[in-house]
Order: sequence, then structure tokens, then C-alpha cells
Amino acid sequence: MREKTTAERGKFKKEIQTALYKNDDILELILGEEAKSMKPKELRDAFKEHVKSHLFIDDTLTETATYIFYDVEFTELHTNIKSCRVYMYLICHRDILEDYHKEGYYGDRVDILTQMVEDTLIDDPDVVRTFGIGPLNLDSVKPYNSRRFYGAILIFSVPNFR
Amino acid sequence: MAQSWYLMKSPHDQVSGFEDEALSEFGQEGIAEILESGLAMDVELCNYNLSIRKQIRAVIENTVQDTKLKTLTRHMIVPIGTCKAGMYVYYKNRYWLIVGIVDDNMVYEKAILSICNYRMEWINESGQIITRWANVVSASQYNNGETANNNYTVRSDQLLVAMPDDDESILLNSNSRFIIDRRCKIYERSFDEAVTVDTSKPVIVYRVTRSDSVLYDYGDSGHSEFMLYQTEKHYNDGYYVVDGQGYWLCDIPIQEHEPTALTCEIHSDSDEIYADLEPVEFIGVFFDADGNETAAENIQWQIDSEFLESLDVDYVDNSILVSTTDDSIINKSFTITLSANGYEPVSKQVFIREFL
Repeated sequence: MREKTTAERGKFKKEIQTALYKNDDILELILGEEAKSMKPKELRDAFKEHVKSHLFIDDTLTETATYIFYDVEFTELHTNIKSCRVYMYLICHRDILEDYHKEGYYGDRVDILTQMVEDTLIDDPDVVRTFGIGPLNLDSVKPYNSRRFYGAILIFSVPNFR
Repeated sequence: MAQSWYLMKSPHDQVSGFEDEALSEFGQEGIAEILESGLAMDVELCNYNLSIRKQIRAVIENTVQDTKLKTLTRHMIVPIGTCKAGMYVYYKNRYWLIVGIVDDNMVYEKAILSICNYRMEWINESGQIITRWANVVSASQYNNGETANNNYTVRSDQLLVAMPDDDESILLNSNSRFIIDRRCKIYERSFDEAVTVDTSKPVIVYRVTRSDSVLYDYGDSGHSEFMLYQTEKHYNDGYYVVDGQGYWLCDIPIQEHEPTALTCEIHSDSDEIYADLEPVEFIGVFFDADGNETAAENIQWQIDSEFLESLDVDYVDNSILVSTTDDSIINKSFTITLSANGYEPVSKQVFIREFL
């Protein structure tokens, strides 16, 4: 049976979500130190509260926390070639923006999270292999600015991935 | 000479004519005198369920025997009207069952005592636990009442059991089952106080194949006998503590407080397994008849799945850990079943999900 073209979108999101979840540094940054003592289900549920596979809508969040929102776009769909783009919003409440520090990372909480996501999706060979769709390229990093939240918009591309 | 001694109806011209009454009265006085002497001893006369006990004086005969079989019976001499068939006699720390008609010779009455070597325990139709001391002997040389021996006889393990003929004994149904095993007492010694149920021990179980409620019925008294045939042990046959008292039963006793059965549960923090994530742990938890958490033996996990090869399964103590890295089984499900010796199996449906 022919595999549905649109099925790739859901699979790609699942790979991203799983890869981010497996990064202990991201868990700690988003959920705090207590992430280490959470039971698996608590951890999964808390993670899913903060990492969403859809785009961010401003003013829908009020909690003082850090979030990752992402979505996947197929920019080209041909018989043998597909081009894929990933939009990733790393959003942090302004009140906690500058109270996080970690050895080996630079900048505020959003900057640190940006580096961690890059580490995960591009630099981690195990994660790259699990994608099974070819390497991601980080095309751009733009600032995101709103009333309560500040963040970064990362755009990845996966050219000709299938 | 002896004939003239016992000639009760002697001619009036020779004697006074009251020798008959005199002999009876003097005889009974004589036996009363004997019972007060060192020839007699204190024993307890008990009813069928030992709820009524009466201390009496009795002369126990045949205490010193020459053959093995004879050591299993005694004769008891007591005043006329003291006992009947089917009563128990507690003598020298053992229960003895009075079998056969108790009759007298106008001087004393004599009862035949048969040793009670096992306490039968069962649950009656209304759920009460019944216990009766019984005389249990091998009956392997007899027919069990179910099969004819037209051609040849293959001997099997059968027991002949004698008990009082009270209602509970007579109303025992064919196929009623009993644990009759001396090892039970040894097992009990190994149980700590927390044990309220144990069905793991190998015990020998018998079932009633033939019941004789009439053969030894003497109208106002009697005892019952029935034949037992060795049968298979069921999973819930074993040791149960009811109201603080331990019994070896072939049925699960009905207790006033719930739950009554041995149950188990599968505990997990989620009924969903996420592909590519950590394993989900399913923990087997077992409960005794009182609902207290307990340990179980022979724990078994079974997974019913069309994609078993796609699941990674690990077993740790009472737990099973399941994970998968196969995306093709996302949103499918499988069934996991927990069982253990004596416990009602329990199942849980588990779904494979993608982590979003």
C-alpha cells in the first residue's frame, strides 16, 4: 500500500517530540530540578504541557514558564522528493528569562534552550539516526517578542528528505 | 455349676424369689463401686460437635493389645444409659468415636470405641465451616461404589471414614471434597502469623464417592460412614484462616467481610506505551482474602498481541516492563494478563501511542 504523504508530517513531529523529551537538559530547563524526581508518567505529562506540536498563539498562556512550540511544513511535494521545514518557537515568560544559568551555555534562558535544541536535533548523532529522514539544517534564528513572553523562532529545513 | 449361679427364675420353694431384682440392683451398685475404684478413670463424653462435654468415670478395656488393628479400638464400661453410638469419648488426649449399638447386660453398658485419627474440615451448603473428628482407615481393598469390578480390580487410594451421624455428616453430598493429609500440620508450622491464605502447598484431596447414612443408623443413635476416593487438588484448595482459626478447606470460605477471594491487580502509572520512550512498568499486586497485600508464588504474565515481536519485554520481580521502538504499531493495543497460583487472573489493555 502506498504510504500517505501526509503521514510523514505526524511521524516527523513524533520524532522531534521524542528527541526533545530524551534530552535531560531540556527537561531540567523547562520543568526545573524536580524533573529528576518525577515518575515517568508525571514527567511525560508535564513535558507535554510545555512542548506542543503546534504553533504558539499569543495571550493563550499566562503561566510563568518556558514552552516549546513547533510545526512542520512540506514546502515541496514531488513523487520522489519532499522538502520539509520545521518552525520551532522557544518561548519563555519574561519573569524567569534571566534566572537560569548552566555551564557550557551562554545567554538567557531562551538562548540556552536554543543551544540545547540545536544540540538535540542537529548535533546528536543518535537523534539524527532516529529521524531517518536525513540531517536537519538550522536555517535561521529570529527573536520573538510579545507582552509577557520572549522567545526565539528556529527554522530548520530538511531538503530532499525522501 | 455356672448354670446354677445364673439361674434367675429359681423355684420359690428353694429361694426367696427376688434374686432377679437383687442381682440387677447389686450388679449396678457393684459397677458404681468399681467406677469409684482405681480400675476406672476419668474420661470426657462429648457430643458430635464437641460443644457439650461431660466428665464421667469409665472402665476402659482392651488397652493392652497384641495386634496392630486391635490397638485402634477400646471397650468402655459405664453405668447403664450413659452413652450412645455416635458420641465421642475423650480419653488419654485422643478422641474416640462410639461405633455400634451400645447395649447393657442389666449391670453395665459397654461401648466400642474407634480411634479418631483425623479432624475432617469442610464447608456446608450454607457456608459454615464444619469440623468433625473421624476414624479414617484405608479402604483400598473395597469397591468405591462407582465402578464395578467385573473383570479385574485396580486398587486405588480410598478411605473409609466414620463420623457421628449428625445432620452435617449425613447431608454431605457425593463429590464433597476434603483435604486429608498429615503434612498440613507440618505446613502450618512454617506459616507466620500474617498468613491467612495459602493454596500453594501440595495436599492430598479426596472426594465422597459413596455415603452410608443408613447402615449404621440405630434409630436413636448411630454413626455415618462414607467412602472417599483420592482426587485432584484444585487451585483454591488449601489453608484459610477464618475468624482467627486455621482450616484446610477445599472451597474458599465465605467470610462476612469482603473481599472473599484471592485477587490480584495490575498497577501501572499509565495504560499507554509511547514508542521510542522508556518502558512502562506493570506491577503485579496480590491480595489475600482479607484484602491485604500479600506475596504470591508462580507469578505469570501473558501478553496477547499480534505484534509480540515488536515489543521489548523484561521481567523484574513482580513486574513486567514493556517498550517498543516500532512506529508501525502506534495506536494498536495488546492485552496483558497477570495470574498466579490460586489467584483470579486479571487483564489490562495497553495501547501503543506516539509521544505528542
